[in-house]
Amino acid sequence: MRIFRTSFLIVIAVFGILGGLTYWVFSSGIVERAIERKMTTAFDAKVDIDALSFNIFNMGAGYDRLRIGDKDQPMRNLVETGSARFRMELSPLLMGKVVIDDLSVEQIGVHTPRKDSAAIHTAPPATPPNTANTPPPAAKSDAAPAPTAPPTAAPATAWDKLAAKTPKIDLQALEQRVDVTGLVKQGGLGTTRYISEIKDSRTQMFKDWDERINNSKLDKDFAALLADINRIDLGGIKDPKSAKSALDTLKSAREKHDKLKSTFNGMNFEAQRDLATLKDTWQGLNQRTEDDITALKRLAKLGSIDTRDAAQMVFGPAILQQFSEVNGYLARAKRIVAGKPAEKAPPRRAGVNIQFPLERPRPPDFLIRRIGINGTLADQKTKLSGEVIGITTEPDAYGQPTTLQLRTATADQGTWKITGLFDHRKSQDLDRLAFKGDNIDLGRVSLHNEANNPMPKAFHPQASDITLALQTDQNILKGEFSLVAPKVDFEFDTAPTNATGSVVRKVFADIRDVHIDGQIGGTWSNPTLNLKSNIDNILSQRLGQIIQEKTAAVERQIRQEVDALVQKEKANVDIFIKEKQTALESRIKTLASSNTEVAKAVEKYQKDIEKKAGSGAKEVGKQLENKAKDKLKSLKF
Amino acid sequence: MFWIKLLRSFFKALRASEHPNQIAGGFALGFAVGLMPGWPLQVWLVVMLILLLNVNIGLAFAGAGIAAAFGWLLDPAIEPLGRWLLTGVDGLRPIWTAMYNSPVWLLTRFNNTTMMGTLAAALVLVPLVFFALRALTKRYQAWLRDASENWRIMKIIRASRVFGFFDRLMG
Repeated sequence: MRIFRTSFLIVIAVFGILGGLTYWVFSSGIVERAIERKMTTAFDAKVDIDALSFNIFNMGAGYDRLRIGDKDQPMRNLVETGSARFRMELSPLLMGKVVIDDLSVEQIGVHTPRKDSAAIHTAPPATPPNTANTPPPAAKSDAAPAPTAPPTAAPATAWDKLAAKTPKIDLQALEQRVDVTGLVKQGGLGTTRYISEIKDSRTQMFKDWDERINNSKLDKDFAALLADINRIDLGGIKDPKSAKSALDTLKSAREKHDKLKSTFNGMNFEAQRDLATLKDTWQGLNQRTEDDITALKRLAKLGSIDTRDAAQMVFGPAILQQFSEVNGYLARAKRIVAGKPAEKAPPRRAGVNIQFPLERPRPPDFLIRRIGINGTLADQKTKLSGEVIGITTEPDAYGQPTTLQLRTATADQGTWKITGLFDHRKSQDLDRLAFKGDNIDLGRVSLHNEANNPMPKAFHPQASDITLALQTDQNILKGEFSLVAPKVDFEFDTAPTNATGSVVRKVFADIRDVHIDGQIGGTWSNPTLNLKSNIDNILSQRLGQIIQEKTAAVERQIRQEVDALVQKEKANVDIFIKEKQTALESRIKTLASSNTEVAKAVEKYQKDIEKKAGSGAKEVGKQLENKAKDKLKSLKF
Repeated sequence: MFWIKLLRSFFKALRASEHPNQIAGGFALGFAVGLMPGWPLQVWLVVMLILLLNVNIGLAFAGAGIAAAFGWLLDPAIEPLGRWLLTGVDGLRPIWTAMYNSPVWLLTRFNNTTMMGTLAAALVLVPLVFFALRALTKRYQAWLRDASENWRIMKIIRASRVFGFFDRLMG
């Protein structure tokens, strides 16, 4: 038997065919379409590569055009580039890893319009863009495409909440008369409730006293006792025996009186104590009235204004919009640069790759060491140059953060410098993106879209120096904004319709330059904004003055109406209390006089009985003496 | 048509026309290919061996198909075996580390637990399959020769139309 196959030439032929197939696969667009599909999945938007080519001898590759669609704005490209050429490193390729040393990109454009939608999921039709290109974002200009919400790494609601927190003052309200009667009806007065409570408590007090006096029956007991005393027959006292009997009756009456007196004294003491509290009835009334006036002022929406409010009121929403845009860029970068999520349990026959110590660093699965960018933006006016270092799918294997440095120069001598750092290595989650512009004409910057708002609708800062930086470290948010414009124009909606509007317009007419400083802080879920500007003082001063005058007038009006209402109700309650107090005092007085009458009767009868008892004894003695004399006469010898 | 040809080649091979080594070698090498998941370097080497050596290619395909199913069924046992070899044997660790630092060895995907388990299983199973199949082929070919020459029933069958059809089918 022959061991080797004589037709081994077939083997060579097979390999030749395989080689040919490989060449066909690469040149026929199969690989191009596979890469497009892979990148489409990665960016969640359509990716188009034109004329992808490979050179398997020097491991070189390139393309003529690359368009990466924007998931959030399907009719725009996130990035569009012209031709690019690069080489892959052989050694990592043998390990199944793609490491590109230097990728040169020309004619890069961002936010360029698309003819077809980049959306890969069914979505409502997007509004087509209205301009050819957008410069790097720093401020929302009306020349830029219609604003659409960028993807936010922080929950969108957090930014909405922050925007809602921007201080607002209804200057229109200052021109209107405050309807205090209406406000009283709307909010109710605590003071009237307080007066009603006072009346209820006093009514209850007097009711309790009436019941207590009635239940005690003191008046009847005093009358009955007096009748008992008056029934003692002083004329019938003729001898010691009858005198003793009368004295015993009186003694019993005195004991009863002592008891009644004690009861009355106790009751009288408590009644006097309760009546004394009536003096303090209106002790808390003034405080209640002041509380009511404060609450009504609040209902009248007469807030105060400080310097912080002024800057936030005018520029807050526009600057928040810029931070929100940069936040969207950070979110996009995070999606691209962030490390792969933890691997799930492998399917059957897939196994797990065991890692062993490496003598030299293991290359990441995918790495572009450097992307050199050079060219002009699609508007053909803005020159762009710079580099992105270290785009990788495995930040830990690469060991360094991804960095970005771009520079643009506009036709009107303005320059933008964009720097970024995206660090997603283990235990790191730091993203930073900063825009620094010098001598930038931002165009018309919208400030609000509200009707009848007396504040400027837009402003146009010229030759501005701008800094906009946003950093996220884990959950901590940190951002800075600075705008220095030596020349600025403010634009208003319509002619001022009232005095406040005129004052506001005059304040802004006098402003020639603007200097705004802002900080974003807090966390992803709860961002905070702090703004200062050179117009704060003057604006807040003038507005504060108007508000102060209006507040004082309204306060006077409120106080007048509240006082009138309170005094009327208070007078009614005072009359009621006085009536009840007089009635109670009268009843106590009646009982007191009954008590005194009984005491006097006891004393009088005591004296009368004693007197009667004394004269009776003398009579008896005289009778006995006469009897004795008669007896002696009859015994005369 | 490909599968019919393959089947024909298989039956043809089982008949006395091919040496048992060719039959068993083709099947065993195909078995090795089918056992290993994916297309690592060693699979390509074995494929080249199949093409280079004078073995039955049809049986190599058959062996690969059977081994693939066999490997899927045995995976719960093979994967832990590979994991143990890669991580549980301290003596082997320096070898693995040295191999891991060589890009060429990485093409074998030896550091994958399933691949390592399969390699170990193949080292044991492939020779076993080869020798077992060679012995079986020898016995089968002897039995077939004896049956076709001496058995009356075989003579009847060989004379039938149905046999003629299958004979034409099998070449």
